[in-house]
Amino acid sequence: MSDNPIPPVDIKVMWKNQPRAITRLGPETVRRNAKRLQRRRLRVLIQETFGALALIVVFGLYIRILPGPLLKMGAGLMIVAAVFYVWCLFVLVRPRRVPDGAAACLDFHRRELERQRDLCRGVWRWAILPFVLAGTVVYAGRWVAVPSIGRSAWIDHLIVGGGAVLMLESFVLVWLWNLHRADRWQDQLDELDGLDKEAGT
Amino acid sequence: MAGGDDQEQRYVAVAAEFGPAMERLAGAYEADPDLRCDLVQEIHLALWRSLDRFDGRCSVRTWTYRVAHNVATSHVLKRKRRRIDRLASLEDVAEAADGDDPEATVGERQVMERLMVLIRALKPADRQVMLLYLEDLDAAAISEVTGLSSGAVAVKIHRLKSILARRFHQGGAP
Amino acid sequence: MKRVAASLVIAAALALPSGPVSAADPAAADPTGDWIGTMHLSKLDIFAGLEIRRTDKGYEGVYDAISQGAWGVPLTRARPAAPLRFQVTNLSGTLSFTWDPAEQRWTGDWREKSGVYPFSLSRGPIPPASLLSGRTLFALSFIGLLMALEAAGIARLLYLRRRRRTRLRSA
Repeated sequence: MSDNPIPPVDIKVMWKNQPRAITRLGPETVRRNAKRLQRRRLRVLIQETFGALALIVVFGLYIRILPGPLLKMGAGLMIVAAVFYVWCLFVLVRPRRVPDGAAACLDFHRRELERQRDLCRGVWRWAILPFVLAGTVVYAGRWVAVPSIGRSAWIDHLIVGGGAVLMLESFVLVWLWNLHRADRWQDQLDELDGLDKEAGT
Repeated sequence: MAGGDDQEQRYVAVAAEFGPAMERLAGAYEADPDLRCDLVQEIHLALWRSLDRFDGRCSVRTWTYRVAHNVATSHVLKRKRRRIDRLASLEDVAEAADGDDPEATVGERQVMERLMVLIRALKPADRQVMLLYLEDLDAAAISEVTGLSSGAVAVKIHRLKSILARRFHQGGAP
Repeated sequence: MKRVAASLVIAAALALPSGPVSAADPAAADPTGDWIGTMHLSKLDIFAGLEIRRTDKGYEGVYDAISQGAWGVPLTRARPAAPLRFQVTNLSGTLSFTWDPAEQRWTGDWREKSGVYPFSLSRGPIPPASLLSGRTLFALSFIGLLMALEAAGIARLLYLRRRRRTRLRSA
């Protein structure tokens, strides 16, 4: 036995005297998360717009230098797909102002989580399909073009075919990644809704 | 939005009075500091939303502890679903040998750490009683919060006092 | 007698072949077969080949850019159809081949912005196509590696979705 017995009341005193961590209050957390989501939207909007502009410039050059009408058409379709993508971004991903008031903020954040989830689920429609169509035309054009330096025709076809499969695989990956993100947004929604149930009230 | 203002005011009052207790409770349920922070926020958010439905049939303290315990238990169950059967009851802990080196019981910090380990090893119902006891609630209040009968609460308090006395070398009557 | 001898000498002289035997060689009059030559372009020389064959539909063939490692590039018949002319399309310039019946060989020219580069081909064996160059190997390996990485990413995402569905069902 220890030489220093601790009286019962001291355990309670020790318990209550635990140092406090910095605590953010619940509604403030929601406001903070809501603002964070809108800031993230703005960041994505800027990044994706610059990416699409770079794509437009590159394929604009390709239209001039690529041989064959099919390749030129494919490059043109890529530009159209990129323009459509940017337009969809501005319509769908545009950030919104977080309202004041805790209850309004909570409703707003909930709606925005739903919007984000639905955007991710529907990404194949507005972000992937146009590029798949344009990419298919580009690869078709490349298939019928003269083989590259250092290759016989069938090896060239093998590489072009591999490139096309790689392109499709990339889009499948992007689609699944967005579905995964949609699940994470749904989990946040479930947590927000589930708190009432968990509270047992 | 008069209802919203009422809810806001009630919440601010509850957070001011019971905020530290909620943090201690979260610390007892969750060892990981980041997850503990999340749990505290979840408890506050659940409290804020639930106060909209508070009808005064029980005390604010009872309501608060009930909400906090339910949220924390769900949090633990979600993250440690597979380990639920490794939690112990007060009876198991009371019968088990200490296994700790008595000479290691030195310093307030080590005492708190050992206490936390003990609390986290308890099943949810017993953990709730232990935490409410440490928050200095009497048996009647513990009974109101947990929904257990006063007799059951008395038995549990007796057991946990003897555990604390043995594990932390306390003197005096239980 | 002298007139007969002179006539015999003149007839014998006329009977002697006046140049190469090409007119008498049946193969030389035929545009089909393998033909090789070098194109001297503005910045590089290309050792090229032409494979011409005759089918029911007429003359067909392929162009081999041997020094560039590209074999079997299809030829299209150019207009006018006579003399026999072929072109290679889908290039940054125009590559044409024309059968020259007088010279018994194929001639051609490469037309691009910097000018026109004529060349001629003569009958000769075309070396076999090389299967894989260094660049080709690199391209195939790179594509293969990316495909494997992406397949792993897809598998992982599918696994996470399945795990989430199982978790939600059991919750």
